[in-house]
Amino acid sequence: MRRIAIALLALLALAAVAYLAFVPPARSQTLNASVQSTPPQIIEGFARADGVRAFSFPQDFGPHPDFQTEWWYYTGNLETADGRHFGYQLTFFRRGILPPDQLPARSSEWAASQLYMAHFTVTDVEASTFYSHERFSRGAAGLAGAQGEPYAVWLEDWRAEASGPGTFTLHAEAEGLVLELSLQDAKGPILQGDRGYSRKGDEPGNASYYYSQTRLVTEGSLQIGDERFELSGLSWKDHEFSTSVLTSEIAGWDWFSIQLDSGYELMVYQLRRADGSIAPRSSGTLVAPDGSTTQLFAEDFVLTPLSTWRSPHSGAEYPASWSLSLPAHNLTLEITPFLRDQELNHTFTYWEGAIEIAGSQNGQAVAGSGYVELTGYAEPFNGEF
Amino acid sequence: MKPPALAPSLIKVGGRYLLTHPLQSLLMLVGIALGVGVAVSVDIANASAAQAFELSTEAVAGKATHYISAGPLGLDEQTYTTLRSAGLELPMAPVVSQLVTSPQLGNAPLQLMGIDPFAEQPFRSYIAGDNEDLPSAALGAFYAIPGAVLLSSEMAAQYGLAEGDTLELNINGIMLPAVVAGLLQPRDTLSAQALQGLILADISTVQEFSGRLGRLERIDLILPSQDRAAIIAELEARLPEGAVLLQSESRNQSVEQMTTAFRTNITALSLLGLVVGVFLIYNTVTFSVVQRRQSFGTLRALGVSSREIFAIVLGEALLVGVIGSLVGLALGIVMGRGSVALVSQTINDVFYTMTVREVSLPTQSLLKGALLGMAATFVAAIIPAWEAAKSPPRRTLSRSQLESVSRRTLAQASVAGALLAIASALALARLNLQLIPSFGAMFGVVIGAALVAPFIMQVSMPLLARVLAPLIGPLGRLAPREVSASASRTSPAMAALMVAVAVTIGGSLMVSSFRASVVDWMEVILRDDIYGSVAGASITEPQEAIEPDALRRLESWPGITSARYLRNVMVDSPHGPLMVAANNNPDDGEEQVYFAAEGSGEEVWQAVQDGAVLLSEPLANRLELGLGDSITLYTPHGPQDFEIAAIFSDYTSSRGNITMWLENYREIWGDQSVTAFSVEVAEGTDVDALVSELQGELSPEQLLHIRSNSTLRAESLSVFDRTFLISSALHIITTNVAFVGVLSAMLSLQLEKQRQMGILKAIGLTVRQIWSLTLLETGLIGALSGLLALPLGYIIAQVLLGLINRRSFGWTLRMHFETEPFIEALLVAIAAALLAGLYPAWRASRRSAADAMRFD
Repeated sequence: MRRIAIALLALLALAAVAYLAFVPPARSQTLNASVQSTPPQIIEGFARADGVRAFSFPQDFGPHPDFQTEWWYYTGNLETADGRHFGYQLTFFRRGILPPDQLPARSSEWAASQLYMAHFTVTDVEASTFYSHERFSRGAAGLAGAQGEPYAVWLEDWRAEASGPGTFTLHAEAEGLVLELSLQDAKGPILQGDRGYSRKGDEPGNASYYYSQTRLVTEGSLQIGDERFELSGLSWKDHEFSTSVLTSEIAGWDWFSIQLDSGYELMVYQLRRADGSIAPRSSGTLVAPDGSTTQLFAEDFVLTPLSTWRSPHSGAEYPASWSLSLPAHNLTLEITPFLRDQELNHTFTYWEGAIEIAGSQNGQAVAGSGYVELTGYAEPFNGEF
Repeated sequence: MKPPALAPSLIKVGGRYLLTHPLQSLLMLVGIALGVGVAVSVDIANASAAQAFELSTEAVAGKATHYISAGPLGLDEQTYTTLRSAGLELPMAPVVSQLVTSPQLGNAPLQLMGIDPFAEQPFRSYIAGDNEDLPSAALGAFYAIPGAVLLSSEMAAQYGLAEGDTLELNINGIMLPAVVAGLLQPRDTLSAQALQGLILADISTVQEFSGRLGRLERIDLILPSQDRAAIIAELEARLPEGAVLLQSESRNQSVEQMTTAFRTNITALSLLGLVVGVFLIYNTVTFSVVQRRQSFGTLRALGVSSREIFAIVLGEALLVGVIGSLVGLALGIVMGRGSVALVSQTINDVFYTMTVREVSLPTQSLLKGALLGMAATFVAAIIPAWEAAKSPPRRTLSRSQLESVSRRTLAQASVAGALLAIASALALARLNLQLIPSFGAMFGVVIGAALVAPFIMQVSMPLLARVLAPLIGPLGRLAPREVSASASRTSPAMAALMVAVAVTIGGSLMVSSFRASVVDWMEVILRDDIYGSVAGASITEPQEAIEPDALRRLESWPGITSARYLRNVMVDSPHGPLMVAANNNPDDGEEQVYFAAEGSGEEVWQAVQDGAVLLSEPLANRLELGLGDSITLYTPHGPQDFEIAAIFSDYTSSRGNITMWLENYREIWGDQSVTAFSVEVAEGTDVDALVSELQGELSPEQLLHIRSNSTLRAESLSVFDRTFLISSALHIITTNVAFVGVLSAMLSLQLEKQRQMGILKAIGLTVRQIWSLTLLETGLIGALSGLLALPLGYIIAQVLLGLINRRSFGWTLRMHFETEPFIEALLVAIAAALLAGLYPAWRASRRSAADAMRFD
């Protein structure tokens, strides 16, 4: 007998909900065609990101239920003592069902005003294997949730939490993978955009609040089946919340987090239009070793794809290496994925993977690693034919 | 074998006979059609009931292999979160369900399933499908909005509901508002059928509706078959006290066993109908052979082999068999509609509240029916066909020769029949047979008796002739002789009628004895004046709790002298869930009919108050437990053994129950709920007035079902009668088949005796005398069949009561002898036979003597 149960309906409906919230806008055009009865909608009553706000930590590590969507993104590049390289991603997405002031009074602990989705991936470079897992749960009954003090965000046994001032632990396991990490924040929270106000378009409110922890010194272990690896390296955390959809002209985005051995970090993203041109709101941040930041705008960087890779799973063609230069900062980088196939094929299809960096900064050779997120490349199943 | 060229003409010989004798063909056809029709209709009803049951339980249990449960109060909801976060990576899904009714949804019982959509995927297949139409808002509402429910689009269409509409749900007798948050599009018919009986809601909604905040009914699990023991151990180590890990299949197994037994019962009854049909076919085919003995002789002389003659006769029969079976299938489908309702009703009344009602027509039933019809025809036709094949070339097999052959066969058959009947009776009496063998042996007795009956007829007719001749003159001598002289035709008819009548006697005697047992039993156990329970969705043994306020008011209600409480609740055990009935009636010990007990009722009840339990007879039989044994139940403090102080008679449900002292139950399970009450009223109180007063005022919020003693009895008996409606219907059909049998036999006889009738007319028999003679003959056959059916019916009743019922339902029933069914059956037999004689008599009387004689 066929097994697809109610969850499928839930997932489908959630997919409709979630693509609005969780997935960058590129696919909204195409996905709309398959879920026609679900027009993009913002429930009135949620707060909008419409100006600079004051951040206060550790409270702002936690959730912001006044905003409809929020995500906590952990990525990292880790190595064993003998240099075997691994990448990981552990991401929690939150979606508010109703604004807090519109929630009806409920007496059951299971009544939910929030839904959570999480992704957990591991890139085993030596074995050329990419593992990815997805989970959903309600933000109720202790099954999933987030809190500021003490900071924690979790979905069942996938969990990120503060373990002390500036220190955090991550835990995730799925089908033979067990990731256990402790993170030490070397620079403290870095506010992206204009003091954490990150504009994505010209309309008011078409923006998010966005900060990162760009240099999380990481120790821990990863178990794959019966093998266990002791690892160390660097992690990066992004935390972003908003109540908006990107303008409909945006087809997808390319987002880079780069950690250099010079002590610098770099975040850049570019928003792509359907015709392949780059939207003017593309931007980034350069973080100096002392934690000071320089805001970057579209004209400050040149990102050139050097090659492409076609996914055997989704058939989508992704750029597969880049050159990135920041002429004003004497920085030129070559960006290459550790593994070509780091595509996630779950409710949404996107590419999120570990990258290797080589280049020069102020005439000196630099190296590093990071993560790239590529969205809007996968074709919808019902195509345009 | 034979030159192929001959085949078409031989087929024509067979086909021609059928066409030129439409009446015979029709009778044979009717016999097969009725037999197949009955069998098919019952099989459809059974298959539908089984499928509905499966769907009802599957809709609820899904693909779960195990579940975690913690008794009547449910499981702490944190258990789920803890297990979910334990890294076990097992599919698990929380469930809180509730039987509900809704005036907007036809008031039929529906299962309200509280689920977590994110956990459901591996478990329940009933929703599946392209639910792209379900707007995201519906899903959001599902979690966030109180009272949000999902219905199948079919159910919504049936009751004219749309998304956003509100409806009222009767939950534990309290009407609560719900809102249709979305409609589900089932992917296939099976899902659609399962969804018929379901309303889906979020866990939170059902917790709030049913007041079970903080609790889960169970957690469903799918455990891999590999390393299962290790996984079970790991799970059990993480369970809180009082929670148990159980196998999902055990949950419905007992109910399934019992409904299977019930279905076996009615299948057996329907097959008796087919047995009667077999006699009918035999009768008709034999007649066709007898009539053509000359032409077969001629054919043989023309070089047709005996094999070919055999093939002609069998081919004819099978041709009619095919058509008859097809007609029977159509008939079965039509009758099946009625039977499905009756069978489902009974299962709902007695065993399990099924939420699924309509299922697709089981094609298997049709196939089985067709095969059965063909097989019956084959079996019935093979002996006459063989006899025809033995026809010697050219020599006309004279009628007297045939009868002497038949008489020899008769003697052999009688001996075989007597042996079969005796062996079967011995097996029934001596061996501890299981259900199906019991039915087999009962069939053995019936068929054996049917084979002996013609012999008894042969012996008794000459005696009758001697008795009747002085009373009514020459006709009194002529009629019995005629009957016995044409034994080859009359005996199958007689046997068929006897079997049908005996089955009717057995059935009605069983039902009336059963009814009498129930009436006697109610006399003992129903001693209070007024009874009350929640008017919820459960049909049998309501388990919904009465509001405590209502109970407080009840205790101080004017005119009520004492109130007793009952808690009916399902409790987990190593045998699966069992019904516990805990009461605080201090006199209950004396208000029971004991099947097995040591000491007086008072002593037994003292033991129960001290911690022992009573088992109802069906439960004791099912679990094979007796006096002095103990039974294990899962309590919040782990498994606990309870001594069995007595076994009591109980006809409430064949699932059975465990009776314990309410105080003990409350102490062990920490559950204060009451599901039913009974009160005694002060002398001189107008009970009916008090009932309507209580009904109106006791509980303004919660719908209660309050009944006087006499109403409760009447209602119980009407449920009882409803349960046996299908059996009665089957008896009537069987008698009809037998009637057609007698009719066909009489017709055959009269057709064949036309010449003889002509002679009788010629020598001066009046029309009136012809009528008398014919009716006397058929009347004699009817009377003798009826008389022989009496002892056989009694035996069938004994077997049904003593063996079949005990095996099927665990009830011991005493034979409650009544003369009525016997007299009725005798009259039916005679009336049927006389009725069957009317047309032949009319025909015989109309023909002129010359005409009739020329015919030969």
